[in-house]
Amino acid sequence: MSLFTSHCNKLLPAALAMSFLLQPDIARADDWNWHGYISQGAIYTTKNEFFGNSEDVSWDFNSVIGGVSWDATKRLRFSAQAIYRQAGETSPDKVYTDYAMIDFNLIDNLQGQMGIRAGRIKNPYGFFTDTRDIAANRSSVLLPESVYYDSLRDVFHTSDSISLYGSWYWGQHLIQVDALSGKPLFTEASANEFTIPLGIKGDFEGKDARIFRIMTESYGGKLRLAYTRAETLVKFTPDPGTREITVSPGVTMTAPLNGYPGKTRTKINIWSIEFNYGQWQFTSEILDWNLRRKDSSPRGGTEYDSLGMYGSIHYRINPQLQVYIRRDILYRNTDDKDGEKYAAATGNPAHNQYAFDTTVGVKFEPDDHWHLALEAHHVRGTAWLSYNDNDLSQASKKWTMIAAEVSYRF
Amino acid sequence: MTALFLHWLRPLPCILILLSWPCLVQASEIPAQKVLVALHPPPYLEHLKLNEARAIFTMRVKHWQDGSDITVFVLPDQNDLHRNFVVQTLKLLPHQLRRHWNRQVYTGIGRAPVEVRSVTDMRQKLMATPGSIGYLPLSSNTGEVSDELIYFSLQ
Repeated sequence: MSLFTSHCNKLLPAALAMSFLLQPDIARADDWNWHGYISQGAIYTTKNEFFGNSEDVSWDFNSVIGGVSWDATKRLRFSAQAIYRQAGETSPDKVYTDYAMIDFNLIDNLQGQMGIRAGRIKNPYGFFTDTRDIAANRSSVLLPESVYYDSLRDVFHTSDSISLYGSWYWGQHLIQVDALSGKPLFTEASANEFTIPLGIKGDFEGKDARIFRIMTESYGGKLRLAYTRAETLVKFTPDPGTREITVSPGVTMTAPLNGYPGKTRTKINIWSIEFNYGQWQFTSEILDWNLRRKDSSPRGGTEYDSLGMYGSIHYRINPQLQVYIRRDILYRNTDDKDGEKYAAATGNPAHNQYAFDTTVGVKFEPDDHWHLALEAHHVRGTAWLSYNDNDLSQASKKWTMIAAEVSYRF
Repeated sequence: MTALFLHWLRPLPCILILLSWPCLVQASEIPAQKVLVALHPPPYLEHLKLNEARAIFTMRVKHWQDGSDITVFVLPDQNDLHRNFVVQTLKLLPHQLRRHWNRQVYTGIGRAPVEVRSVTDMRQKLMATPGSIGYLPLSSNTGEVSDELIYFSLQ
């Protein structure tokens, strides 16, 4: 009897939950929704490479997206999207799952909404990460690299996770909260950004990702504010092998060929603000990135802080056309902003540690489907260039980039 | 120091061109027109508050209080009546509303409203769809009392 009661205790909540989710309404054809998106870009750089062989104009900057969603019941929703994306050597050249998730809607009324999602979910990170592939939702052809680092897009874009979301109005303020916990996706291209500069080989495994974002939209969207806190934990297992290092004349020691095993924890804070006044839009985000690596090396690990920030001004000439200007700054290590310590220690150029990017551009949206944009970057520094596309020890400090993109969505 | 100063000055011509552009190109203005929310409502609903309408048109709420589906009809983004409704009635920014819809669709968390081609199309679809909401211009036609639709300004 006690066994029966015990089972009932477990089954009853499950049965109640199922009856709650699977309310007696039959899904109709219009509960299915399809959508898609296609874009093609071109990049030209005077020096250095961005998204492929851009010194000769790179067309390896495109994406095709196809997605479907199904409202199975009033509270249960399934959605998935496949993506094929080319971005030079920084993205896997294949079709893969962009997101695939179940959404349990707990509260859905005119005053507020709340629910839980599970599966592969787009990360709530800053203003733009969850919609960074959609040109119309980006502020420019390329997002400011100091905060939305394209070389590590895959790590920060999606995660296999569970998230809790909610939104409600409080007077003139719309408040949206997202909290997510899961595993970050760590692709080979992302791993290369860490292993190539150190000349090592091994496996990275995303162990843990936790993200919290609160975003407000006030006075009908005139003022938007957001704060994001993200923490990731990544485990590194080097490929086997040893090498001899000469410590002093006649004295050698044995060290691992591919570095030491260890874990890297990153803690990221992003503060975001957008202000709309008439046809003007001012946007700024500041990213503070603390990276702490613990390993079995004699030093026991390393720790440093990166700082990224940008400010941009957009002006809408008319509903279809807007122009913009942006200043974007990245310091890889705030204790070595000019990169001189890094250069002395590694022999690599100091400009690998910083980047100052001034961008001007124009966007044109003739209707609800088409989007065209063109922009020019003048860059000093190479801190956000990809090791997959470049030999950064030979990179040029000052360079110019032209980026163009045309996209269609449905 | 001089080099640093010159470096910051380099983008100045572009900035000046951008800042003077608004003076060269006249910004478009939306002709003022009275727009009313048009609702084919569940029986109990007679009006909406501003934030409730915003929650509906940003596609964050999917069902009425009685559990029936909310169907949202809108005109294309560039349509003057649509822009008029968004700016003057919802008191939102049209490009931000589109950003909400894109986020809903392309991150898999929701859907976009149903786009209709014209005011006539909007009226017909509203009348044919229980639980639907849209907007119509205040004119002799739409001002009439209808068995199916109710019209109101937002509070």
